[in-house]
Amino acid sequence: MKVIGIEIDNKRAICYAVEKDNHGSYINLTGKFKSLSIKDDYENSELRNFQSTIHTFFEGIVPQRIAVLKRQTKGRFASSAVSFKLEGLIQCYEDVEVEFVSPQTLKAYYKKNGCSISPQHNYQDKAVQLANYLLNT
Amino acid sequence: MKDDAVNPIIRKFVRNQNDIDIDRYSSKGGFGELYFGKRNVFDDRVALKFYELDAHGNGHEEAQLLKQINHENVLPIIDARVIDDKIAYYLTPEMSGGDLQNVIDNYIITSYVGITVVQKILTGLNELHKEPNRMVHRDLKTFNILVDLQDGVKTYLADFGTIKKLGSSSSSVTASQFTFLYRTPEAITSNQHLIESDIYQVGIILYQILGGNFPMNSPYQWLKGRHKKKYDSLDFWQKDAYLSNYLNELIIKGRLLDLNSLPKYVDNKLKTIIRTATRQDPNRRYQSCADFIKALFDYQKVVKDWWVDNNIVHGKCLKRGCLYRIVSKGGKLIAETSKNGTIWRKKFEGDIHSLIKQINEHNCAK
Repeated sequence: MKVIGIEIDNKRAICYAVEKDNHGSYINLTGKFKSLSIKDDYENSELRNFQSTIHTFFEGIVPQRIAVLKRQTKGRFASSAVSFKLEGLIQCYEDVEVEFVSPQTLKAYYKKNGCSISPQHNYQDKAVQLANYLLNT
Repeated sequence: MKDDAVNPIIRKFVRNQNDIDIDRYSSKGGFGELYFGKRNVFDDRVALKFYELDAHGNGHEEAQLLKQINHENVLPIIDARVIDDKIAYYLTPEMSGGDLQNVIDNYIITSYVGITVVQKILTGLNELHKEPNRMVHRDLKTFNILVDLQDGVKTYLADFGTIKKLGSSSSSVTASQFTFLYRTPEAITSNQHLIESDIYQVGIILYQILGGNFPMNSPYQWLKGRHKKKYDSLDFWQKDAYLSNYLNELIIKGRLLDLNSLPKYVDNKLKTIIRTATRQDPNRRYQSCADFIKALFDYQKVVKDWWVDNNIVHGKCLKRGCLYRIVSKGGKLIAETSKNGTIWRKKFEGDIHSLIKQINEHNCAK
């Protein structure tokens, strides 16, 4: 089974693609596509390019599940508005339903379970946790 | 139509058409004959590619593949018909720009457009590579990319005659022998073609579209120094073998592309992208189309759009439309800027590389 976990951090989408094969071993499929960021969210062509680039990544992997880590939409700790623009572009992917997983759900899951995948870089931590959650639920 | 050498059955069929006014023939159709015309009912331009069938009536693979792959960057097929027990044709839209080589030869392609075209090629190629298709094109070159210039620049992968499907447990197929200069190091050394080999060929296309020296029609120009002298001293019948051996060696050693021949505005970051795509070792190239597209996306968002016109380097800020140009005045190179292209103001002074760097970093909003 192949899955992609995505954490959106302001203007950057951090992706982690992983496959669990029949023997239960994990294969990292992320390649060089560890994160994709935009410079200017008012630049139409850049946003279109962002969408086309990340969708090409999805198409190349052909995942069974894709999930984005939910972020707060309002209140003092609400996430950056730009991140929701990126989220919308990711949601436009048609081949697989993009799911949303809240940090609370992840926290509850990892209270009882361990994470079998170790991230290559620290910043991938949340995306890796999300991908592992998708593979095992 | 200058199609005297074409099979008389095809010529007769073409001249008897009522639905399509066929007005042009092209000899660039690879293994088939290529005609162009206008459909009377829809009032649109179409291309007809005729191809031969074997004794059992087989030979429709290319048309069937085009029908099977439905993607915005893959040439759409309108119809396919058999006209004789040995000949069939398929119908596709005619692209206004023709093939990419025609566009490179006849139009000024800015760096932004060039990179976008390559991204589109990669997006179409990704459709072939992805599961469950798992196909490799094997003959990607500027002649096999079609460009429509009517509404922006639309790019289509074409010529599916060389496509092969990778086996379920195999990562390579036999290499195509068709286009010499686009052959990959692994095709020469082990006669195999991988997904990364398609990436290599797109890397060459990127190099060409950005203006790198790639004399396709005069292979003699690849020879330099003592190799040229040696070639000149050989007998006629020895020349071809010498040239092909020499080019093979360039490909295997990764010296086919001369990155210094690219325009000055192609900076080291972009050269690194070309270098990574065309590395000798397939494992050190981009491992997927998505990786390659991402590298181009990351590059494109931090630089200006560049082109050369009348030996003057021009730049443009895509966001605000500010124009830049680098001109020589009083023996010095200066960068000028303009809002509308008529009144130019001096902005920077220095050598060409520092001027390009300063323009790329310049924020015209301030």
